[in-house]
Amino acid sequence: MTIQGDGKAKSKAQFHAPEPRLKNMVNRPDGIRISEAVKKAEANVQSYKATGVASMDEKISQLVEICERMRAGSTSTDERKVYLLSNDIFDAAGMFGEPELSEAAYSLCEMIGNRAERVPLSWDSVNVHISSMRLLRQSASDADAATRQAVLQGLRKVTARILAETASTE
Amino acid sequence: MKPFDSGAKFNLSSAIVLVVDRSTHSSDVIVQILSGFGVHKILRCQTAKRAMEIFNVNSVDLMLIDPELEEEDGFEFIREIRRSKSDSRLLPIILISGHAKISSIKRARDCGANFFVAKPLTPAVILQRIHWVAADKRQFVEVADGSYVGPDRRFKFEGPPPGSDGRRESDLPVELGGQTGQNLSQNELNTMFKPQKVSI
Repeated sequence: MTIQGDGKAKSKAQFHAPEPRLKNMVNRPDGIRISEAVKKAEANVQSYKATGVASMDEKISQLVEICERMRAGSTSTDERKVYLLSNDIFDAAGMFGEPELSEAAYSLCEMIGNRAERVPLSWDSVNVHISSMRLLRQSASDADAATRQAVLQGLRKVTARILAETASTE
Repeated sequence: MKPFDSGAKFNLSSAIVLVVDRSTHSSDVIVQILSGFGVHKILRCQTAKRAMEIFNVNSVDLMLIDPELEEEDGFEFIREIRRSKSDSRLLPIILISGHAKISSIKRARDCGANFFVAKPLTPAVILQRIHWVAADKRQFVEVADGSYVGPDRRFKFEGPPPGSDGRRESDLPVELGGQTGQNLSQNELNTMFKPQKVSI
């Protein structure tokens, strides 16, 4: 081991050049075109949409149940569950064409995931996210764009406040 | 990495792909996408423990993993694979993540995955990453003290950081040493750049 000018030790490393089997599977004349494969995969995802949306609704219902429990006081297990469920909703809503619902779910993830443990997580701030998600889901087809944007703006402010408290405690 | 040519062809029919995701619906979507790409053998599981069992009996070509597992740490699982003695330590791994916590970003970079994809997923992005893995020219690095094992995190080598002479023994300093021999003549340079036919 040698020592750098700044006194830190240089590490010894071994280098390999692995040849993954995948390498031989691309640029093959006997295969399918990239454009065709992407279209086929998109069609497959669309055929799964009804199941995916039903699952997303189920997860919103689970969030509502947990939130009711959190009213009396949240545990770290509840917070973890809320984080994972909202992460799933963020993904599914984004994939199945509900970007505003996806953003609301992301805001909840951001608030829980990046909040310092010292900063208390209030039931109100979780509840306002879940209520907004239900509203955005129910009104995806008929609420006007300005209303949906106003809802999102409110959530951004709630999350920004919690994260600012986190930043100020660091 | 350059964008791929949408007219190019590929054949993943013999590939074995493992999908590790705690959410069955998320892995359903990934399976739909991979099926569209013509992958026939897609294995799936929700835990790192089960994934290890799958590695023991299958020669997996690619793993797609969401590190937010229910009760295990997905980043630690990738580190464990990279530090194992089996062939699976060289396995191409694509990390798929939804919301990324600030505390996870450095861990994602250092766990040893080949590439990273952010959810929501799209088929075009997944296929692009698979092509990136196939075309990846980066070397696989195994640091002796185990601090990092995985594809080289440097996509472009621009010399060691300013003020340092490198972190690895193989790193060369940016400054060049003094000249030790004669300059090449113009004829010698021309020969190097203009290959001639060999006459026997």
